Amino acid sequence: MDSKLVENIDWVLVITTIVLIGIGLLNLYSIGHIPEDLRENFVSNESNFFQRQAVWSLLGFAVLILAALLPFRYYEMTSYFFYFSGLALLLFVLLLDPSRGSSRWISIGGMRLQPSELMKIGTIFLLAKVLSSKGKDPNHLRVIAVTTAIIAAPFLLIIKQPDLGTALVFPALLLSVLYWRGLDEGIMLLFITPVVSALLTVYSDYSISSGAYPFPLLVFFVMMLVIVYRRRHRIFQSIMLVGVNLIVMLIVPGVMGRLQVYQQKRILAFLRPESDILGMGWQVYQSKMAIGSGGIVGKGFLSGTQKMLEFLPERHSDFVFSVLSEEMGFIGSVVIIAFFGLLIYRVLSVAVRTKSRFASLAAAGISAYFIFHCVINIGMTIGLAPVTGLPLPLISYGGSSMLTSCFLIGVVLNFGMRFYEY
Amino acid sequence: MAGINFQAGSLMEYRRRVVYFFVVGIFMIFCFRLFYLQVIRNNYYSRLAMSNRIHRERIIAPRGFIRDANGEKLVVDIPLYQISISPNRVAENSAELKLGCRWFGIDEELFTKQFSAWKEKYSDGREMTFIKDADKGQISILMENRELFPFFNLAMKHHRQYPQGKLAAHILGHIGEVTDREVNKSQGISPGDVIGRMGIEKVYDDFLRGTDGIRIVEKSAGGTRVGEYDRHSGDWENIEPRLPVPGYDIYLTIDVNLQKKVEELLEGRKGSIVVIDPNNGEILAAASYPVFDPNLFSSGVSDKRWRQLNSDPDKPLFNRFVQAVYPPASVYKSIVGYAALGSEAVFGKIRFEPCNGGYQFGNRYFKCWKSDGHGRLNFAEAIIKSCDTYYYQIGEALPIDEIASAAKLFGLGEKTGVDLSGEARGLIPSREYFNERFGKGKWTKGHFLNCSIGQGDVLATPVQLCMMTAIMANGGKKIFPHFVKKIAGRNGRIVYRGDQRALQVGGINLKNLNIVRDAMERVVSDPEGTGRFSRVPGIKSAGKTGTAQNSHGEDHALFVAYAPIRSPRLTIAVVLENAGHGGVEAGPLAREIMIFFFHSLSNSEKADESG
Repeated sequence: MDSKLVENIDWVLVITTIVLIGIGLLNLYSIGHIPEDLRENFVSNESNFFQRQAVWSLLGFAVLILAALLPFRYYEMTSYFFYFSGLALLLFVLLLDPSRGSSRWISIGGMRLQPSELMKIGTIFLLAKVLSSKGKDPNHLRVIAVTTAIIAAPFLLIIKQPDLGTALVFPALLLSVLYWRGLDEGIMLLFITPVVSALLTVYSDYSISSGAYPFPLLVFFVMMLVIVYRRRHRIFQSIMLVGVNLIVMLIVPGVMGRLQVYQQKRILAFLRPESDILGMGWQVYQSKMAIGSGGIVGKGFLSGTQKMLEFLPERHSDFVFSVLSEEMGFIGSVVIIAFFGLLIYRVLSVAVRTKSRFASLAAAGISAYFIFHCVINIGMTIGLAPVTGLPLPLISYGGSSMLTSCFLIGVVLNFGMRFYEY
Repeated sequence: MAGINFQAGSLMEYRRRVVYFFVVGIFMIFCFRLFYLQVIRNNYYSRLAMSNRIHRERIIAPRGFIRDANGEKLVVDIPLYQISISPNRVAENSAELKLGCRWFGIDEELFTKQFSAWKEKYSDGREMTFIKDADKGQISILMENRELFPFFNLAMKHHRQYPQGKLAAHILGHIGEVTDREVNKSQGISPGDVIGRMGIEKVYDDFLRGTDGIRIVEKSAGGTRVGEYDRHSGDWENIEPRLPVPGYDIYLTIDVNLQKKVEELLEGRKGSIVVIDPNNGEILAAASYPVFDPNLFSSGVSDKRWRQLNSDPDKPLFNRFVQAVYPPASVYKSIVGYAALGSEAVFGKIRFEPCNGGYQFGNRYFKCWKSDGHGRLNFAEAIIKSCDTYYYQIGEALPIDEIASAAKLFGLGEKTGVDLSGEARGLIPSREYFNERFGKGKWTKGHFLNCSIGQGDVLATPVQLCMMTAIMANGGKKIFPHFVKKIAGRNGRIVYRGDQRALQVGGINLKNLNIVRDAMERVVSDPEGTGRFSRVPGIKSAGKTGTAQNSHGEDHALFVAYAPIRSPRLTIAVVLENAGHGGVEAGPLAREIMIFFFHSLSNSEKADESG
């Protein structure tokens, strides 16, 4: 290999990745491990997660190296291929067997893969490619429309699965790539704030009716005022921003009222798991108990007790952080969060350093991928984010997520190695 | 340092800082939150975790009852206390287990054997039933010695009981434990649940099954239950246990007393009887014999017993009134006669030959059941005496499709839509059917002749025959035979009602129908009528006999009847397998049913008057 390329390898990123994968593997080993005195009473069906994930990790590392070696122009050239094969697979799983309830998987030779993961890669590449041409002004209505169309297709298909959490990754990717390309902050706020308003209105509606103070809505209100004041030089945009938000706040309660009761309940459970203590809220309750009982230094490797308990079905995937946090304590949790911060920092550095527009935008999208997954997943386990099925990258059990994360990191390493290329 | 500038150089630096600020901000919030949970609230959560054996326990909702038309209970759900044993927590030969067997009065040797077999069969440590229905004494022994027997668990279960035993078994059906596959397939079903497997229990399972409740209980480290979770001790103040909602109660259209009478009449025979109210389609009684005891299935039927029930040549599980099809034989003549009256091809077109015991058609001779012949007959006499020769001649002249469309008007050849599963469609042959079966042009009119006396390929279920008779009785109104009168919640709110409509069937010629009905009346009243054995003094009834030849031995005896002639109250269909002549064998059963029905009716009316 070209010595110049080797010189430019981001070893910090490589080591961070290895450390995170290692922590994930140890954690899965611990989940499968049952203390001797309890072995009589528990039969584990999870001991093989560790072994399988070890295989996935090795595969992932191979994918990482491969992704780093190919000239990154190939990714730009094949972005359409990635995107449309992802779409085709999504359509395929949707049409294949809707009767079985969860149409998220596709089986290839005994391995179950999630097409939505491939879709994330394809979307990042295609957005980066479309926005990388010189003349594309992200503030132009046509550009916004085209890029919105790009994410709309996978978004709708995944909503249909139904998997709201995964679907929301796509708007997040779009916003971050557009932002990186220079989308006006005012327009950005026009996108984001109505969604936040809608969610907060529903949330507050519930708070008020149960006698609580709608604190988050007030904070949001003050933030809006500050923003409008700071952007007072763009008076027209500011008026529009306030107007749109007010309209949303007025309309949303009426819309909620028209929904079926079970739909209302589902939305509430999403926003406030506590309101559904016997369903989703149960997992959060168990998760908080596990994390809280971990203390400062944790109960020690293999010594967690709460991991045995009732939120079992997702403890190796969605609620993996709870087990980690229980055994490694506050210090361990902060260290893991710091490692994720480091990973995101290194990805963003590449986005800044590279000379290629495509690479820069793709790296921005990849950082958004990691930010969104980490924030939603960890936030969920500590009761700060809604309960969704999003995995914690590199740590949660699951082949698709592992391969995608490794591939994306490989691509970022690739960009970094060839940062001088246009 | 920046590689490219999309906009101005400073903008990129600025945006990068915004993103860092955003990410670091959120991660800081997470760390604060973790600090709050793990350091500040650590004591609270540790305590919760130590005692945390807070579990959700399902409270199984009782299944709805099934009652007869007068509210008498036919199926009930009774609570019983069951003591089960956790295999993982005790060894087969432990002293405690031996003591338990002695105290609870269980055969120690037998149980030990069963217990080790269970352990071998289910390696996942699932609980085994120790005492199915614990009495007060056994429960108090267990409650007083909890520490001694930590491996025993006491739980309330629901037991499905059929207090009347075999009565109406084919209507009520039975329940069974869900299979692993069903548990995986649908939500809301858990291992150990029961679900309707047959009959009303199956068809109305969604109504009968209630909604399970949830209670939150605290268990000690050893797994024994400490008590229900105190909702004020935690910060989850809105933990709200959910109460179970019992299933809906079903009220059937059948009358227990009539049903008992009908089953009595069938005792020792093979066949079925259906009694329908022709005014609204309510099935007042329906029996199929031989029968089984649904109670067998409530406590988990053993493999051996199941195989025995299934391999019995008399098929006790087989519901003969909806699942079995028979040739209607001469009963079908009422349909063929009706069709002939409405056709231009028969009366006025052909000259009927007198019956001398048969009919020569081409090179084949079709025999009449009466070998010495009926002589010269008119239309009514041919039905009264059930002359085959007369009907062979109709069959020769009348296009078979006209018979088929007449049969369709009276509900034959189609499912009646009765609310039991596995209903057979029956078969009414038409030109199209023969083309399909034999190939175009490869069949002869000879097939028609057999069909015109209800043999050959013609098939119908007892319910269809009864419905056909009902449509004749009520003056050509389609009814919807059903077993469920209404479904109501425990609070009395009615959520479902049986379909009581009676709709005039378009296309039925009432004049011709009346001619057939008059003939059917004389089947019973005429001294030479084949149905004379069903005559009840004081009640004018109408009927038609049938004697079906079949390949399984002796003829099937059939009889349909309705009474009274003016404003009929009930229709009866009797089918006795391999019993012989319809008028002789089946007719008297219909007579008994009419006597019973009208006797109890007049009794209750007298009671009404005096009350």
